[in-house]
Amino acid sequence: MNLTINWSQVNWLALTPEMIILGFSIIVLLGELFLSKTSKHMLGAVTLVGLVASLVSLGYIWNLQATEFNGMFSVDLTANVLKAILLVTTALVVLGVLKVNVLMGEGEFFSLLLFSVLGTMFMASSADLIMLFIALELTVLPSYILTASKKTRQSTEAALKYFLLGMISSVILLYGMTLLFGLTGETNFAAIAGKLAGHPIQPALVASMLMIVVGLGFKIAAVPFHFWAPDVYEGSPIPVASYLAAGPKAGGFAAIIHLFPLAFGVVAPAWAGVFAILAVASMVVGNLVALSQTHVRRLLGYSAVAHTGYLLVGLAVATKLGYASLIFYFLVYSLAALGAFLVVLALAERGFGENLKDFAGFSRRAPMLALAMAIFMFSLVGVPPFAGFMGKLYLFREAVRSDLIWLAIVGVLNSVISFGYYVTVIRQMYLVSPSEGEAVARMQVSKPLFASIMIIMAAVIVLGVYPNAFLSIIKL
Amino acid sequence: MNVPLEWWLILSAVLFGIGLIGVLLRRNAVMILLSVELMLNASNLNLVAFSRYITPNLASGQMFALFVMAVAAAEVAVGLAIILSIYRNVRSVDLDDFNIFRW
Repeated sequence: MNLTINWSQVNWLALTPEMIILGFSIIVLLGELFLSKTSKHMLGAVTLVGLVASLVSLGYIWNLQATEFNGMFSVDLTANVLKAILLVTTALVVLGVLKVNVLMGEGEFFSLLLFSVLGTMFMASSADLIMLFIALELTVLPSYILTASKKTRQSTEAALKYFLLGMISSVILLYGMTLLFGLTGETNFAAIAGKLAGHPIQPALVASMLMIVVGLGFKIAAVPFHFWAPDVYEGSPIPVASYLAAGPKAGGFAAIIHLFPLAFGVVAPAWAGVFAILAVASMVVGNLVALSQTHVRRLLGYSAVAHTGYLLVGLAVATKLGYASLIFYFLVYSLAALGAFLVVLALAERGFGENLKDFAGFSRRAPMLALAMAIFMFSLVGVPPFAGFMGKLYLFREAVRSDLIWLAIVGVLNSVISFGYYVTVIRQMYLVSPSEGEAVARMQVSKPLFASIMIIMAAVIVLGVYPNAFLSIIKL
Repeated sequence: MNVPLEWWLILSAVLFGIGLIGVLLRRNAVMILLSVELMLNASNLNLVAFSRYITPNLASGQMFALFVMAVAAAEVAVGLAIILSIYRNVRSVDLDDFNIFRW
């Protein structure tokens, strides 16, 4: 690796989306410092502007293929699509919490959120082990702080668990990276692939691959590295949980899609098999444990683990079409999960609890929100015509095409199991009346939160009815 | 005296193992943090040794180690802050006392 960089030859255009996010996160942080208490509420709007500006600049370089900083940072369509999904979901979170108390200084909350987004974007674009490690840490460090931001016992315990498990997985990932560096003397993904090609496979390469699977498997909450996910989704403040449910996983999947086919290309059948096993374990464990949950956010946490399992099917297939259907399903899943979290936020804002029984009579309190929640649940199960159905269809079709029919069957069976707990939520909302003597009044929801949920609901329907709108963008 | 590369790798593997055992057996959050630091330093030792023996003319391994040190410092700062804030709630840093969620 050449360490000197010719600054005049760097194509800064490739970095504009990241630069905009970096700029806005610093502006928002300074805003927290210098603005008066009464004007701080506009920092959320500033954050939203930053995210949209970054999204626009991303659209401007949509088809750009570039590698900058001596192969450290690379832009391609996969990275751009995942960055766009990340920016859109984060923008919807920010829109949803505009009028919500975020439990810490607005500037701190939004700038930490933006720093985490920045780390995830760099992770999606990293083409070098050093870059990948630092980007990953930039993603998770702000998430640890955000998880602890409520300062209650529940929130700090979730944060400690998240932090300790996250750090251990980071270290295992790092040790795997050092082995890979030792085998090749290179840190760049493509250079590693070049050095390994044509040589016999060494045990250290397999060990390094497994260690990196552990590290990245933690970030995407795959079984058996999922223990943090349900606790963090339950224990962290709801705005943070909504962000964590959707955004940061994009970085983990992008890193796997970029790293494994290149650096571990010589042991491709091995890691595809490992991902197939993780996929089955995540689907089965996530769905079965979710069946017995009564806390809605914990239920969504286990549902997230199960959905990581579905997404891993795309990695087990290990073809270009497999990755494309993974990305489509990731968009579909993160929209529906984010929508569900925002509905829980709307309930919590009015003082309702977060257990399943608190959803009783929800359809009469807030008909539109209940309808949206029902659609999100149907989409997560994979009921047509909603987006989840198309997503699962593409994923399992790729599995069948690659002779992984058993994996597709396990996936379909798991979708049937998952119907059990998603339908409980719908039953509570529509068929169960609240306890006697409790007045069923119309629930007030803040306008931005309502708008955010409605946008997500529309997207879930449109992507289900007309998926080509998105598929033509990602060139599936 | 020329120390072979294998010795460094064995030392680093032993350090990593000690750290891993500490993580698994210790119940004190601060001690777990220290054990993880040991594992991080095992990785650093790997990086520097590989850099010295395999790519003596390139600095990328040593650069990686420097970045890892910076990241480790940031991680400790965040980790100690979280442990402090949980101590204010529970008056303990023992994992067995943090029992809202099952471990």
